[in-house]
Formats: sequence, C-alpha cells, structure tokens
Amino acid sequence: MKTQSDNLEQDKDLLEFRRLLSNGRCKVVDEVEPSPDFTSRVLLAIDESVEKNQRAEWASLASARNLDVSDIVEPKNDFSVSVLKKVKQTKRLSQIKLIWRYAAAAAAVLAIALLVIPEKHGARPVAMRTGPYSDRNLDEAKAFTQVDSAIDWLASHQEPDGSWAPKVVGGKEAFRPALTALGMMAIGRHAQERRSDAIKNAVNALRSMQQSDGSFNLDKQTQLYNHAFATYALIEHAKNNGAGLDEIIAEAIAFSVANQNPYGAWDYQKDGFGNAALTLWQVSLLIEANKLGWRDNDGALRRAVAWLKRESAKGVFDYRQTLDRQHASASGGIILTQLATEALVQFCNEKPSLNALAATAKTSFDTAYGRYTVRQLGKESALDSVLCKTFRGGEDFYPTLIALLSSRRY
Amino acid sequence: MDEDKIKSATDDEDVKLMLAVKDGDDQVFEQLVLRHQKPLLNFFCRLGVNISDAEDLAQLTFVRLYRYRATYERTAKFTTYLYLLARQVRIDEVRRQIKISKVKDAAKGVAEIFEAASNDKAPNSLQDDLQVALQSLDEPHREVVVLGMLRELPYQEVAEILKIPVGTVKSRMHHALKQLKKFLES
Repeated sequence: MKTQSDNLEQDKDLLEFRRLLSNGRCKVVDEVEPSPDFTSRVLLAIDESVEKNQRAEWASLASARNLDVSDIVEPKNDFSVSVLKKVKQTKRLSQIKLIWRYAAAAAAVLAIALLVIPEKHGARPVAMRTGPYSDRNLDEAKAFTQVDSAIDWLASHQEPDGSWAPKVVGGKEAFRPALTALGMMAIGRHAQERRSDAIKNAVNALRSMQQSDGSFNLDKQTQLYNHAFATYALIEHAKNNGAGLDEIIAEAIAFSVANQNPYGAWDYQKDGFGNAALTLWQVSLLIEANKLGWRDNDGALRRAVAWLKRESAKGVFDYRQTLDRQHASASGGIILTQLATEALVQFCNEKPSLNALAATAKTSFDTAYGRYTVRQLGKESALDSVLCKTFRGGEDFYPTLIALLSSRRY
Repeated sequence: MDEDKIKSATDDEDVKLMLAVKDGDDQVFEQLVLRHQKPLLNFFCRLGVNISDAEDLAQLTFVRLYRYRATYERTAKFTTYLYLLARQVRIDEVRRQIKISKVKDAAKGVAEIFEAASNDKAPNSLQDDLQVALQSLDEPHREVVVLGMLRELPYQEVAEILKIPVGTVKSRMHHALKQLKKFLES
C-alpha cells in the first residue's frame, strides 16, 4: 500500500530526475511506437501456443487409444498426403471436402506437368534426386546431361553486355534485370567454373543496372520485382565468390528495407498490401545477407517473417492470399509454399517466438505432397519448359524456373 | 488526488479485462495488448534492448500473460503482474543468449548475467542522451529508474516487481540519481 510519505519521496525524486534532464539539456526522444502489425503478431503467437498445447493433449489421447497422433489431429497447417491418412481414420465430412480440394489441386499440377513435356520424352517425366526429394527411379546422368545442355543454351543467348534480353523471345524489356539475375543464378549453381565468364559478364551487367537509390530496375512499375531478383543473385554470388560487391549489396539491401510496406511485406509498389512471391524473394535475400554479416537491426526481416506467418494460416501460400487460405493456385501456390518453408526454416532456428512456425513449416516442406509435386514437375519438364517458353514471364515460366533453380547437384 | 483516482480506475479496468480473459473471454485480451503494448515496448527499450528484440520480448510477455491467465488473481495491481512477467521474460532471454554464446558459469547472479550479455548488444533505436545516461548505470539501478521515473510506478509496486524491499528501491534510486547527475553534468 502506498503511503503518503512514499508519495512525497517519489514525487521529490521525480522532480529531481526531471530537473537533471532539463538542466543537462538532455535530448530525450519520443517513446517508440510498436509496429502497426504488432498486436496481430501477438494474437497469432497466442493462437499457435494454444494449438501447440492442444496437440500435446491430442498426442496423449492418441497414445491412450493406441493410435498415431496424425490419425486424430485436425489438419490446420498441412497441405499434404498425411491429410488423407487422417481422413481415412476419422471420416469427417468437412475433411472429406478438403481432400477433394487437394486432389483437384494435385490433378491440376499433374496436368500442367504432362502438358509441358514434349512427346519425345514420353508420358512420364524422369524422376530426379535433389536433396530432400529422393526417389528410387533416378536417372541422374541423363538429368545432368540435360542440365548442361540447358546451361549451354542459356549462355549462348547471353547478350554482349552480360544481360539476358526478354525481347528475344517476346518478353518485356522491363524485366531484363530480373532475367539477368535468374540466368546468372541458374548458371552459377550448375556451371560455376565451366561458365565463369558468363557469370562475370552477368555481374557486370547487373552492376550497370543499379540506380543511384540502390535499386536494380529499368522502370518504376517493375522496380521491386527486378530489385529482389538482382539483389539475391549478387548476394549469392558474393557468398560463393567473395567478389568485392560489398558496397553494391549494402545499397541494394538498404533499398529493400526502405521499401518494405508497413505490414512487413513487399509488393510491386511500396503501398501495395503485399505479394507473397516478392516478399519471399526479399526474405530469402535478407537471410542470405545475414550470412554475409548484415544484421536485422531494424527488424525488417522479422516483420516479414511475421507477415508470412499471418499469410500462411493454413500452411499454404499464393501470390495474393486466397480468402479461405485452404486452396492455393496449383502451380504458383505450391511452389511459393515450397520457397516459403525453405526460407522460414532457415530463419526460425534462433528465435524462440518463431520455433512453432519452424516446426510447422518443416512439416509442410517435408510432406509427401510437396515431394510428389516437385517430382512431377521434374527437372526434365522444368528444362523443357524453360527452353520452350523461356522469358515470357507469368505462371507458366515462373514455377518451372524455380523448380530448376531449386534443383542442385549434391 | 485526482491523478491517483485516474490510475486506480485504469487499474480496475485492466483487472476487469484480465479476469474476463481468465473466464474464457479471449476477445478482450486484444484490448489489454493495445493498452499496454507501447509502455511495455518502451520499458524494454529503456533497459537497453534494441527495438527489434524489444518487440519480441513484449510479444513473449503477452503470450506468457495469456498462458498464465487461469492462475491470475487480483493480489496486486495489474501492471505489477505484467512487469513481473516482463522482467522474467528478459532474464530468461538473456540466459538463453548466454547459453548460446557459451558463457561457462551458468550460476551467475542476475546482475552478472546482464553485464555479460551487454558485451554483445545490437545498437538501440532510442539514441538519445537519456539512453546514454541510463546505460551508464548498472542493471539494478537502471531498472529502478525505468520503472520508478519513466513508467512512474509507485515505489511499492517497483519493490514488488523487482522482489526487493521498498527501502532498497529508495536507496537504489537515490544512488542512481546521484550517478545520473554526475554523468549528465560531466
């Protein structure tokens, strides 16, 4: 209980404290405001904490009935074949409806994959082994031969200034920085030594495309899109080659951070609500920059991850979030989910408040459905798609090129 | 005094909300977050935590507040309870950081833990003279100044939060003000 003398003593100290600040001409800034999305992040963290406790309860219920916990846990964040197992056990009507949605999405992806494979390769794509996507029917030698051919094709279409020109195959000139970055990354990941000249020329091309504000772009409309790809490519190159790009990269990152929207995401324009693809590329580049020594002192990366968390309430991503968040567009959504979970698993290891997300993301990432999807797209179909439809932009190009980029030699 | 009446009414409102959350009305928890997020965030910032980490700590504090809702009792002011949790979150996080940076002696006292952690601080967003002056104090003295002078919590409440006698709060404050005077006038 506060006594009158305590009041007086504290009031006296308060006067003295304020006098010290004013006499010392002490500069005092205004109190910090929380980020606009802080409250929603707190509430989301609480939801996840509640769910985690529920799962613990369900685990002990399952154990009591001699069942696997996946048999009774209601799917909230899984976009996976394990959902099918759960439904088989529980046979709930709402979950059966969910299966049909997933089946429809799977059929759509398979249809896309089959459509893009030319007849000479037959009806089934060659399965590949790429890190987590192991499969027994591997024809690795054939797959890598085709990768080499694709790289040679890419290198042969490089412009004298080191860039790749979208207009060559009917694409928009404005995307030249992004295309150059993607070409550079594809070659860098598969033919670092064999095509070192092509990589060096691409780096020089990107250097020449950097504007005075640190961005990589040729017009305002596509600025943030081009910038994300170009910055990521240069950071990846610097990480592997230590190529003396520090200043360029620092300016590029500063531009990225300055153009994050108040919700923590990136879009084609700074005042956009947020585009998952662009945000994922920015998140990925900041994660890579962190490995080069950049520190997230202003919280840009943390806010972006929080945005991704909110956008993935059901564990899937799409360019712009669908209303019910259970169904993603067949190609864009699946690939973005894959990219997102890779980025999030990398980022979440250190932060206790994001551990629950890391666990969920890893589960999504490792799901049978994810592996099935990438196998069906296959490296071969990705290459064919790149060769046949290269540089047009849009969904027919993007997911297949991402699949190609994701496939690395191990 | 009018100011005391206002503070008391505010506390009554906080307690009412917290008891509603305890009873299962989760929707009102957001109101508690909105009422206290800024002071809590600035509490951490003024202790020397950079703003990015301060938001994480504030988030953890609210999550913990929600997690312990079933055991909440009105035995003290709501802010006492909240800042008790906040302080514990900070101590836990500093211990975790120290574990990560492999400081060997895990049996250090709180003051030593904070001193060790201060070797690896990210820049603080509150770059003002007050913050520089506060950083010249050690953690126990900084805490009493932040709670008693900046948050203006009564000394009795500060004592409950820091789990020390009121007399110790007063003597630390006296010492802290002396140190601040020396620092600011030098």
